[in-house]
Amino acid sequence: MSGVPQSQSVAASSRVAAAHKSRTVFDHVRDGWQALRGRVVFLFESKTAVVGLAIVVFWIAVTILAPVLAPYPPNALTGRVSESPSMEHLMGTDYMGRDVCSRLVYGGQTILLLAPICVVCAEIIGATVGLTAGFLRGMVDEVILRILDAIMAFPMMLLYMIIMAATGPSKINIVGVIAFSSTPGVARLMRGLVLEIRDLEFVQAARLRGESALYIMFREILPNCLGPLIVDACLRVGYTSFWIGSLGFLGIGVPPPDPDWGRMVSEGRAWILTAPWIVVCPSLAVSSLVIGLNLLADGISEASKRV
Amino acid sequence: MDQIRAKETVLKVEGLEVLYETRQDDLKAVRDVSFEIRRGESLGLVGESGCGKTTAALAIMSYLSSNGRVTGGQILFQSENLVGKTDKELQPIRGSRIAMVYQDPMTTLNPSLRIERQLTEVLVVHEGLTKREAHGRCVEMLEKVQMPDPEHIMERYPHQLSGGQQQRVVIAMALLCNPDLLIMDEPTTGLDVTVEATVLDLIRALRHEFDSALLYISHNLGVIARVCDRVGVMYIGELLEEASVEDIFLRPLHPYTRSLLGCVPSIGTSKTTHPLHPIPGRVPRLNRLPAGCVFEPRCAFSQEQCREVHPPLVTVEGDRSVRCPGWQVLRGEATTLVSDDLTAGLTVSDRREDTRSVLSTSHLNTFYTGKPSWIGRLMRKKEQCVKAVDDVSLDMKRQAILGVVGESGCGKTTLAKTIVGLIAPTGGEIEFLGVDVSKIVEKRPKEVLKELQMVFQNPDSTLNPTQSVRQILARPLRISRTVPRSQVHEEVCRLLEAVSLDASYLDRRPGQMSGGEKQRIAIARAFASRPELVVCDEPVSSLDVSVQGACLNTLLGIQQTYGTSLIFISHDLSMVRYLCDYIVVMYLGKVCEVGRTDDLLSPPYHPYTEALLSAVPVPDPTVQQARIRLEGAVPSALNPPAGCRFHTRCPRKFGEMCETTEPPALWAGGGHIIYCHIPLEGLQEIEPAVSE
Repeated sequence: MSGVPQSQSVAASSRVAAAHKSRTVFDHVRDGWQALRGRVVFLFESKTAVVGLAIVVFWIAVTILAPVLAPYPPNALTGRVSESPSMEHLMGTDYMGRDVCSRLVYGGQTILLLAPICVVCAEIIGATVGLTAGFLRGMVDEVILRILDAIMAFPMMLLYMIIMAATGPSKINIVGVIAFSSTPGVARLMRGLVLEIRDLEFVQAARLRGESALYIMFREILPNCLGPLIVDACLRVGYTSFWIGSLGFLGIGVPPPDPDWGRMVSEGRAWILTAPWIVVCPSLAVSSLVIGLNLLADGISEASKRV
Repeated sequence: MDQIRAKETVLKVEGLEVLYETRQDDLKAVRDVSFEIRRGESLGLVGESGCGKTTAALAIMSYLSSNGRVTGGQILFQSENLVGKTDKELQPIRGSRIAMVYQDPMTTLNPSLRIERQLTEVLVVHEGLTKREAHGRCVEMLEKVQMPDPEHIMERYPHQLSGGQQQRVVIAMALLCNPDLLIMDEPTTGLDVTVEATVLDLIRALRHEFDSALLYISHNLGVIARVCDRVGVMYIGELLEEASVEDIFLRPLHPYTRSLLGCVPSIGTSKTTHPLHPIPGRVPRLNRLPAGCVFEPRCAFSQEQCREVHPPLVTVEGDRSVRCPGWQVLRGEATTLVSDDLTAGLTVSDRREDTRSVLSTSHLNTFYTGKPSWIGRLMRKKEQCVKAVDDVSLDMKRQAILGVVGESGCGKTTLAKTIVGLIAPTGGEIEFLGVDVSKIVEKRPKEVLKELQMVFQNPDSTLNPTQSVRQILARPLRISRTVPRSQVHEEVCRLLEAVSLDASYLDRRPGQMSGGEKQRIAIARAFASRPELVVCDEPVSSLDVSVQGACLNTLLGIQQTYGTSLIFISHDLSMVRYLCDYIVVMYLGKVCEVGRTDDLLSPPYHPYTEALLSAVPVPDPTVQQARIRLEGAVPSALNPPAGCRFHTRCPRKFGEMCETTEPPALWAGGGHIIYCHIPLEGLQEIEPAVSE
């Protein structure tokens, strides 16, 4: 065969080839860790991402370390009613005499636990639906799109209230309803990405090999969509946090007396002029978390564009 | 020649240095470039992508982007230094004394303004004419650039003109104020070959009439040979050689120039007579330049001193300059180069022909139909049908290379996709290895799939960016079970070797590879399952000139090893002539001519083939080419002409027959078929289009 290297370089390259041959589990783990580190490092190039990440990490840490950080138990009556902030009660007490700071620290749990779960469910289901619609096109696409339109048209709050009226408020209901309502947005995003990618040549090459539709959807197209999906997930955690807070505010979220930021704002409304700290502190907490998540999402998309 | 050199200097660039500030580094995109252009003379700046030729041109006009600036040297335009002038000071110069023509006419012309408004604006602003006076001058200028019906054109919008017409309008706009210097940056790169030929003719004619100095930038050596008096060769921001056009092409001194000439296929060369010698190595990055001569790492003649000392540009033999200390030694060397083993030109032996057929198509049709939506049907819009491939019958032998040539819209890509199965044919039959495969790929029998593969055009989207090379190459092997599972890894390494890449590429992702490397992996992937037939759709068109040769050699090498048949699709007749044993010429979905390569290059041939041969730019100023030019542009595929589809532009139109009836097949012997109404004897008497 003309153009073939001499026997020495054949030997040399087969030695290199042998070295590359055995890839153990450790190699895969190490590659994964390096890829992750690479991704996180590139995130730091965007100041927005850094600020967003700092805020989110702060709240996560606070929530995890709640038992350590909180000066008093959240439901205990430790002070006089509606005391203004002082050395003993850093953020004052609420209308029942409970320490606001401790309630704040414990109150993030609902949002920080439920929001990611909702979003992960929405992303998984939405991505699958979007992949199917975008790849298969034709009748399947049309039917799925119409179903998604119908879901989007239905007000989520109304749906939640109906379910709550039937089965009572609970964490599972919240997760279910929010995931269900978020799916169409994710599905549409995914479908748009799939429509772009399915015409690219490497997908055509996969068709030429006789790959099944499932393989092409999940092993060729999906890995290329992860970037925008992650950005969408971050933003969605922000919206969802806000939603869960709103549910709490309306009194139909997690039942009392467990502290919940939304409900704290709602309960403290009557004292907004006399004891504003009861309302201001949890509001700031929710807002800052959502802002942090938005900044993080912005930063990720900024950093990924600036390659 | 002496008369030209005696004229006054219009532009003199001395020691130009341009810097771009980027996030990581400051990049010196142009370093120590000096040249001179006199009145009536044209200088061509040739080089590959990233060599700085466009940057140098933009620097002359002060059109650099916000992160670029001139850091050294002078730009003397009629003895006035342009460096450091403000936009206000430059305004009277730009457009009236220096004019520029860009590559893409669609983005140069404002799509929302009529041509009249855009043309008259130049005269109104620079010469203070009234609109009526300007209108008259513009119509005159449109006539000079050979636009049919200039008054009508003035009323149109840019999107209503064809690509060639738009480019002529841009040239007219540039010449309106009779500029002293005209800069053209790849003006014909986006145009079809036959249209490009007419625009190049126009540029030559205008030069004689207008006496402006011309700076012509291109990566295409053939075009430069046709248009320019002098040539400057650039490589990563440096000017390596500058000489008259004959000296550069016939007596090149710098090793880079010689390598470049050695790796470009010309219409006169074939793989058996002149194998390509691609340049080894990669173009280094601007922030990691070698310390000595920038070309040294890839140079076949490099010495110790080349690595250490950065060579200056020296004037040689009176009117040429070269940046190589060894030029005197090299002057004596033969112009053919011998490069190292891995990239050596292949010697292709004339093997005995295999007469078994691997693929045959019979009256193959692929139509794209656009059914109107229900609103359209309400408005009684007709169903639109593009006959992309119309009644094509081919027969392909084993181990042969078939080239499909044609301009944009001729259906060659659709033909490729139909044969391979990505598009379902509308009619006709395809038979592959005795099996009927006239269906879309999902419906074909599985055993056939691994025997028929494809190499795509765009190297950036041909590989999955999230997969490593190992995964990309192993997958087809696993699926087609070419080798048992335990040997997959070895086979992947063998495939990499076959495309001249080493095993360190196994864990790389496409984002870490250059265009040429990605295309070679794509070739390896196509050949992984050891197919009988591989269809290549313009595989090297998006690559740099020096890399194209390497890819073509890889393709040839692998084809010879495995004995695969190839269908090679391209718009570049020189490349097809170099590579292929048989050629099919297509026009608007129909086959014009099919036959052996040698038979196709001399009469008798189809008038369209004749036009293509006389239009293709040849990188050799001594070659005589006929001047057969086609009028107008390729008609729309939605409404193709009746009868012979070529009759609207055919310079040898025979008569009314051409407009009404489809041309018959003329058998010229040895499998050579021409579809034309002109009898064979008439075609045999045509003068050859290309002669040395």
